[in-house]
Amino acid sequence: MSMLRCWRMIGCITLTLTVAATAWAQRSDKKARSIELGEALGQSCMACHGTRGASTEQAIPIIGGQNDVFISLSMKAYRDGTRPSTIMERIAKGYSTKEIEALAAYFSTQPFLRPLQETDPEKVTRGQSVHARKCKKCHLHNGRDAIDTDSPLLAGQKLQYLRRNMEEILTGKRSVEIKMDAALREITREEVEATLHFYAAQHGELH
Amino acid sequence: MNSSTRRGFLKIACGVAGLPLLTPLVRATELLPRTGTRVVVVGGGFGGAIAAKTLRLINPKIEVILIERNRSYSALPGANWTIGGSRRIGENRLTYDRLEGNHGVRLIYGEAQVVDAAAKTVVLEAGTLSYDFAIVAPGIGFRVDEIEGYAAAETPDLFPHAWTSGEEIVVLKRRIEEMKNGGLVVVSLPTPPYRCPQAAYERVSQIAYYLKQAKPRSKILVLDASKSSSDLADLFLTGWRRSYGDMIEYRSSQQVLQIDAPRSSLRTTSETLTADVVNLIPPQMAGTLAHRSGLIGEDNHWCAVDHSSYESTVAGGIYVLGDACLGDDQQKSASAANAQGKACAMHIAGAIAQRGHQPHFYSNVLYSLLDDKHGASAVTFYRSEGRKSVRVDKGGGVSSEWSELEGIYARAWLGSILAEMSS
Repeated sequence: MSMLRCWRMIGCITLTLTVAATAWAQRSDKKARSIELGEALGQSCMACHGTRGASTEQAIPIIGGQNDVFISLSMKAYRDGTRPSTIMERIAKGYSTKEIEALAAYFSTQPFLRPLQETDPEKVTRGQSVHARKCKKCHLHNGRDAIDTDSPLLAGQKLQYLRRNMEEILTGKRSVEIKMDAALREITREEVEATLHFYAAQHGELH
Repeated sequence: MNSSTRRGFLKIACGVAGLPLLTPLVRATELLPRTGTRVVVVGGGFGGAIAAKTLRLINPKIEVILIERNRSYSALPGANWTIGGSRRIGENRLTYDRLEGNHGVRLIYGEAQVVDAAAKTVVLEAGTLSYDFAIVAPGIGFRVDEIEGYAAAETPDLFPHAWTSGEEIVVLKRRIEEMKNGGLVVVSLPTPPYRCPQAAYERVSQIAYYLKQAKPRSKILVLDASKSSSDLADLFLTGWRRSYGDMIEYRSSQQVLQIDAPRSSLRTTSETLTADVVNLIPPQMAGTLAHRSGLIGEDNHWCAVDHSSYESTVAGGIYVLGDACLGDDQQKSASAANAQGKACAMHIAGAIAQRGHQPHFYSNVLYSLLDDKHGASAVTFYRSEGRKSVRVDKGGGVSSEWSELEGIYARAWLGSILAEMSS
């Protein structure tokens, strides 16, 4: 009898595992298809955002290796007009939600390349202490990681792009979540600028 | 440069299945031993260079050879800005060494004479290259026989078009700089389709920006062969009025029929006039190589392609990119050529790997500068539908105004697309 129960249990476990494995396989298959679609659609993005999203231009953000959900949210916000833009609204409106998510899936799986940028060493030092006081709980590892995938990776992002975005946030043209808003209220404009230099100064693979 | 693209020659060259004139060369030797499935790309402009790079990015096992006639390429986008003075033409120059070093694209510098679809070889002066897939990006040629008095050799110096290479802008810029204050510049835009109409309007803007500062009593007369207006043309006309007042006079439906370049005069459908500087952009067609290789479609001017793959519908196994293609309602631009190059590369890589590929969906992005600071953009989406390329209604559109931010993006776009195709 105990033998029978034992077999039953094994059967149950096997079945559960099979179902779980199938679900996992289906999910990863869906993810792979999404990445494949994103790679095809994403070719157009690369003329401005660089090969595999590794922007070479100060005005244009690196999107390769950026957080999946953050890319999706940004594109949807551009599309809906809730994030200020010039050309990005007209571009984002061309894509369905599924296509936006495919683009995000593809670019997020690319490497985040961080070539050396020109920054002010004094600001970098000052920014490092601001980061340690106000930012590091969410923008982990000097901005190379984030507490959640709906937050952006900041390390090595283009300084000019970061600066324009902070300007939009500080002037109320773009809304951010409560924690970010609270942190910004407690630091000066100069500290914001210094922190951007700190993030822009992160380069190479390790720090 | 384009004398060989005259009609008479074309009839001979294209009439009998492609290449009677070049038959002796076909027997020449293979230039490079093959290392695997080989794609030969002819023409290192915005379509060809990015197609070569993308193929190697997708599958580094594919042998990719890029044939280009110049070691140093001078891009056209941004060349207009040198007239206004906010860019140096040297900044438009790029080389292909990083495509070789970073991606293993093999460069051959030389003039491809013909692509022989039947023999699957590209013929150069030094020998031949066999291929499994050929991508041809031949650029444009001019239908100079449609303008009476146009001498293919001399006229481009007297009435510069500056429409095939960035470096050509130098001659036009010099003529404008040498002109007296109070002079007349005529800019003649041809019958569509032609290479990047937006760049023609930008050209006018940049000439005006220079004249406003250096020779403010001068005038620009734009003779546009197009009849219809567009959102884009309206954006320029509004910008011109606001920034340059009555310096620019714009006339639509004005085709140049006859010229006397040494006397600096031209006759249009409605009048005869003389000018101090004439920027005559002649009517266009696919570049010489497309004609020689028998890739021209029924319209006698442009290459006919299947837009799901960019494979020629006239000569199988040859894929045609960029301005040389008749693109249904597709615009001819650097951005469109770039997008086509990538789509074509994905298609060919898919065919080599014996798997399907995604249908094409891409954007054509055009940036222009009104002066040294203010920019605007136009976005158009396309998708492949069967063998056609269809303009998508959803998304896209033209900037509502000229802005400094889009001026910054215009320069960033150019920096990025040049870096992307060459590194």
